[in-house]
Amino acid sequence: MSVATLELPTGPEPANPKVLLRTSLLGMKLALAGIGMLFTAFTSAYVVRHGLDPDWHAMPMPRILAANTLALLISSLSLEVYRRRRDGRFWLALSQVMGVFFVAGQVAAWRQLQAQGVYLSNNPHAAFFYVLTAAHGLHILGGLFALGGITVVAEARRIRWLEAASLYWHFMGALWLYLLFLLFGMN
Amino acid sequence: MEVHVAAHQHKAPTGFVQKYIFSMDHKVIGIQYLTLAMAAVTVGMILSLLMRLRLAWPTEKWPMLAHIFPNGFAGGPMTPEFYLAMLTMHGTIMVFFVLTTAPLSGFGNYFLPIQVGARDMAFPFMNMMSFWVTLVSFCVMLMALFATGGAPISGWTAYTPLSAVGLIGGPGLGAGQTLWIISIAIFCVGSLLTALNFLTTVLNLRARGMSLMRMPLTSWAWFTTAILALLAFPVLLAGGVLLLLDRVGGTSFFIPAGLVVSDRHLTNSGGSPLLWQHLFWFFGHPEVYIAILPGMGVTSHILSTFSRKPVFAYKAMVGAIFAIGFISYVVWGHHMFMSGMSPYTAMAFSITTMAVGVPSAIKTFNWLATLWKGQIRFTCAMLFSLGFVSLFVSGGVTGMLLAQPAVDIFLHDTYFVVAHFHIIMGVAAIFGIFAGMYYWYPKMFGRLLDEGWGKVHFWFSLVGVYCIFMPMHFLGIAGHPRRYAQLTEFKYLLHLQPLHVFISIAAFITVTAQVIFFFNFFWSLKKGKPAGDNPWESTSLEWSIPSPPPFDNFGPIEPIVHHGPYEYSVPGAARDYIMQTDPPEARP
Amino acid sequence: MALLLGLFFAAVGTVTVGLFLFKVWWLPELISVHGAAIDDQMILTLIIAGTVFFLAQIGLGCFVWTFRGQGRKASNWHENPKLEFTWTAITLVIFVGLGISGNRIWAQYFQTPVPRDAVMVEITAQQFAWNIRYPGADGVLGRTNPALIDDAAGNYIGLDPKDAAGKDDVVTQNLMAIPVNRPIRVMLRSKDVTHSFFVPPLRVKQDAVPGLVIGVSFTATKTGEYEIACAELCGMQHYKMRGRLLVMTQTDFEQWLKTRAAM
Repeated sequence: MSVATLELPTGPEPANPKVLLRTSLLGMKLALAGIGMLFTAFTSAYVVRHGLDPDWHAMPMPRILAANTLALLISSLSLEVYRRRRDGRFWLALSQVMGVFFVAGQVAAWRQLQAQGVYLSNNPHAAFFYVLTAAHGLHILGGLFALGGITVVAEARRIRWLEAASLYWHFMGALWLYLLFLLFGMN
Repeated sequence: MEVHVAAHQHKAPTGFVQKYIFSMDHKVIGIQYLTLAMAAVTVGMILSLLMRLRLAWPTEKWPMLAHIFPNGFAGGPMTPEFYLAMLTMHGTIMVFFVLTTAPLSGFGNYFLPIQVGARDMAFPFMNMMSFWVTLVSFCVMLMALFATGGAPISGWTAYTPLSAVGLIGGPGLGAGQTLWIISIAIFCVGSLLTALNFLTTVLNLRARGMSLMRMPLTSWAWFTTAILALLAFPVLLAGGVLLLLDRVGGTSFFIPAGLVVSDRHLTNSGGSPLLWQHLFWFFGHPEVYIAILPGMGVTSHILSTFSRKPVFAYKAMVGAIFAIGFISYVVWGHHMFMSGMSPYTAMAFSITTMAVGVPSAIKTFNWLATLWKGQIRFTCAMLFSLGFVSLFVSGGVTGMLLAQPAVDIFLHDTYFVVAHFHIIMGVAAIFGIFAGMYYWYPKMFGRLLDEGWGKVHFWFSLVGVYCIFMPMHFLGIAGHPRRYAQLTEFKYLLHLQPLHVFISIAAFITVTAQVIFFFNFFWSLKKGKPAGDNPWESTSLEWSIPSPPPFDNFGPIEPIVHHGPYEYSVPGAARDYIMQTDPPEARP
Repeated sequence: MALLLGLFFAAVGTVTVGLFLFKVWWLPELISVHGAAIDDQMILTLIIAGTVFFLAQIGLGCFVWTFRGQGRKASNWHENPKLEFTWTAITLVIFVGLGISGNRIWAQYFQTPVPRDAVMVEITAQQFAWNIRYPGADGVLGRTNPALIDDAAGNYIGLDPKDAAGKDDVVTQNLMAIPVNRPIRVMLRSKDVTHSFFVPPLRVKQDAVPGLVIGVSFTATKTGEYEIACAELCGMQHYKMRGRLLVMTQTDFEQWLKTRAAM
């Protein structure tokens, strides 16, 4: 609506869905900027600590992470299909299931490490692994909650919720790839 | 630039709980934050008085206080660890729960949507959550204050390894320190929710005609401050998580090898105490600008209103706010000149720190130029804003000394630094809050604060804070280090004791005078003069609606903006002010 | 009100500047070589900062009085790009100039190479004392190992009894002696938390960070007894962490070392 075509309004404007969507997406992008800063800070701590420590023993990547990564990628792809079609409960369900698989797989990776005697306290590389996967995992749990909400929220809000949740979910997927690279791609 | 129409359909809230407790109305949330800040500042002031008591009379016994805080007095005078605990909690509570809440989340929440012509913030539910999260954070901080083993003693900066090694490092470093970290982490989340709302609201929900360059400088300040908060608080959160893990998880992010604390050999290895400082100050420096920028916006706004003149060089003021915000991200190393950081890095930070003084100076010139050939009305809001200018100059110029590493060799960690940051944060920013309070109270509550008592409050405060903090410069120049529970152990400091007594007496008087404000605040709620819509003849959008505003701010008619924010004394206009929503013909 | 406020701001400017000018409370006496440049830079900056401060407070006071509302119409003057540019440029020049001049002195300070004949002193800070160590006749500091630290047994710095080089090391607590007019090189360490070695008359301050060994150099120019203060919050006795610094003649210093070595 341009300023040039002003007329004196007679009442409150009805909620404009396009503006509402843009608002939701802007809010989500800003939130992702904040989350990005969190992981930037963790990254700088990682880089500094890595550079400082003569006793740095990088642990090998737990193999299950490959499966977890695949699950998360499928989850994002599936969600993207659902988002574009705005339909097809199968794709949404697949996305959620793959998401749960990812979280379960991360927990399994933790268990594996603990079984090998690798804890927070005895290996700094592992310490960062635990911290980064925990921080990422908490955000994934939030994302699962958001995905679950898609079919539950009122119709009027559904598109906005879906769009924002998708953006969040894809970001978490990309973030995971980045964390994999940070932890294991530079050894 | 395209402007956007309001995107919300509001139903009026019903019931006491929905209206006043779990409210999603930005106005209620703003008042909730202000109430939190008032509670926090009361606690913070009491803590500072306890500190001043010890500094002035270190060997004195205080039986009444010993009764309330038996651990802090242990049968004799106040213990040094109690002093350090007071110091830590005073700094933490003031910086986080007063200076980050009141100017931004308090006034900003209330007035940003109105000033840009919106019905509410972009995400009202998240806004409500941000307050309750912050309140939880405050409760956890109070728990830290009364924790078993004492409140933390590592300062609001919680430098490692002291804050990481636990109780073997000293009292308060056990449960107290852990609760402190948890509280701060929760606070980070609350601030992020606030920041999201502010930014989205400004970018997407402005009314028709409210272009960015027609926003009042208060809105610009809140907007920029929100950007700072969005990008800085996550870094503190990351640091806090890592510190917590060092304490309870056996990690060594900040603890190097070979430490022997109180004859106990620690098994940690490989961490860096400087890493904490970098993470903390990367957050910490933008944080202090978060504390001052809203006050600068308020000052511009109020100086303009009560000089009946437009803000001088509005565009430059916007640019200066942005410049300050941006540069604030690249100066953090000036807190670390003596830390063992590379001296070349120190040089770089020194240059950026000097640079941030330039936009601040521009703002000061522009404030003076705003007054030039004005017709000044000495309302309480104006008095506090004039005080802000004076204090901002006083605190700012000492930055020129601290920004130079060579000079900082002597001044670092002395009372000179304490003077500098108190005058800027602990006074100028506070004066910004008071100015905002006297200015906006009538809009929020429909009644005016009593101007007579306000003037008494002003004079006690202005004279008082200069008496408290000016002498601290001299303590610093004489080489008096910070965070000393008393100066009596060092011969070269003994001659400074009379200054401490003077400061403490001034502090007691000044803090007591704040009772006048609190009394005025509560008395005027019921007995203040009715305010009307626009008692100050001010131009921004909040003055075009009733006092207090209806739940959806503007009622049935959408606001349409035709004018800039500071159209005062426009030649040929009917009145000496044109409101932003006045018809276009109002400006000849 | 206008008069009162205007006078108050003017008073703030005047009284403060006066207190500085008359050095009512001032820097401790200077006893180091490099400190002269620091003091000069501090004074220069104080003069510039003080002038800005004074003019701003007086200006504010004058404006408050002159432009008090008198029922007339205010001016609408609200921009002047040339003026804006001018005062911005002047400010930039002053600030950047100060920054550059200050950094020159800083560079001189840390880039001066340590002379070969500098007296080596190692200081290991702890809660709440300064452990001072001299290399002794062999000029070599003995090996230390944190695992050997045992405060109860008096081995505060973990001196390794097996290392021959350490046998002649002179170790004291809270007592440091240095010869006058000779370059000193202090190696700062910490065994528990971050402390900071601060001797005001020397214009020396450097954090002692656990895990790091940080060097700081200076030359004292006047004999006497001075105090070492801790300048980084290190725990509940931070305010009491006091060391004695004795600056003496070269002969006295050698005698002092011999006496302490025998102890």
